[in-house]
Amino acid sequence: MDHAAIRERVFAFYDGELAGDARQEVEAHLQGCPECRAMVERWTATAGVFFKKPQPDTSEFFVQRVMDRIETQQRPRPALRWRVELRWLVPALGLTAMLFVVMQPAQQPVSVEMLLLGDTGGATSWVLSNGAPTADEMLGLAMEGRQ
Amino acid sequence: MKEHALIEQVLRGNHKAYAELVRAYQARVLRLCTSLLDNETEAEDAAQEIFFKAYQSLASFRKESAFSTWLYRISVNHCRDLLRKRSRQKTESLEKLLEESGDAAEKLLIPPSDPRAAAEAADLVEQILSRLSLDERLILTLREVQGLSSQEIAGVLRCSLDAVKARLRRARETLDEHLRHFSGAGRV
Repeated sequence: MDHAAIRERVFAFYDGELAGDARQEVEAHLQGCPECRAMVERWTATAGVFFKKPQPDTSEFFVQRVMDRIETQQRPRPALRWRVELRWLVPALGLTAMLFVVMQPAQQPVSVEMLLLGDTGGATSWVLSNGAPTADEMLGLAMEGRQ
Repeated sequence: MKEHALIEQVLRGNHKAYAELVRAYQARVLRLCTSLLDNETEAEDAAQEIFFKAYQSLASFRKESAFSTWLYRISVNHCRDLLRKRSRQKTESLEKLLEESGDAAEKLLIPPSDPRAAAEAADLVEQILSRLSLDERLILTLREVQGLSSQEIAGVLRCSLDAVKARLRRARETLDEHLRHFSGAGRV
């Protein structure tokens, strides 16, 4: 078998992910190839130094600490599906508000007169007419002012 | 099956059933955190946080994958965040490290003879590991410490099987290069 091709599979062999004929092929190659064998041996030693660590101590105290924290917080949050959907709600509402403002029919410009006279009811009628107020109109205005 | 029944119970309001899941996975999560963070206190705090996060997100767990894969994914993301924060604080230069540790690196693959040498070796191992990228360290930990298969790693990291194999090979080569580099510096 091609040496370069088998080198690609040496780590699959080391990881125990080859079975049957594929495994036997690599095994046979390793027996006859000191270079590949040295590679596996070196990695076995490296992994032993860098990654073989003692099993950490487990305890009921750890479990209790987690459960105590959960007791204070109670129920799990809603499913992510819901949260993902709700996440679209904020920009959607913003867009709707923006469209609402843009699509509003153009308002008539508000003049100073309209602002000043907008709330004066009948008292404005004489101002908007071209003629001068009659005596009765003047009397009506005076009476409104007293009330 | 038992796990899924426990999850159902928790979601129906019996949050005490979650204690069983914590007991079942405590060792694996702690081991992963300890390997990645290399600090027991920090690892224990991280594991607590991971179980709490998992509890809070339990409703989003879809039973298409194994609970362990889902929990590993949360663990990996949490440790990755912690390591990112930590890597910003890393200051020691590689040159200085090479100068100081070259001789020791050369002897690293030989079992240390006394406790002091073992402690020095452990410190050096951690320094060399810290030279790996986060992803390299992560994939090597999942494979070599947790013993996950490539298929399981693909599930945890949400990538293809081919990507796992390629990354794993690259990470191994990088670690070996670092080790040779350190050893070479010691001989100069």
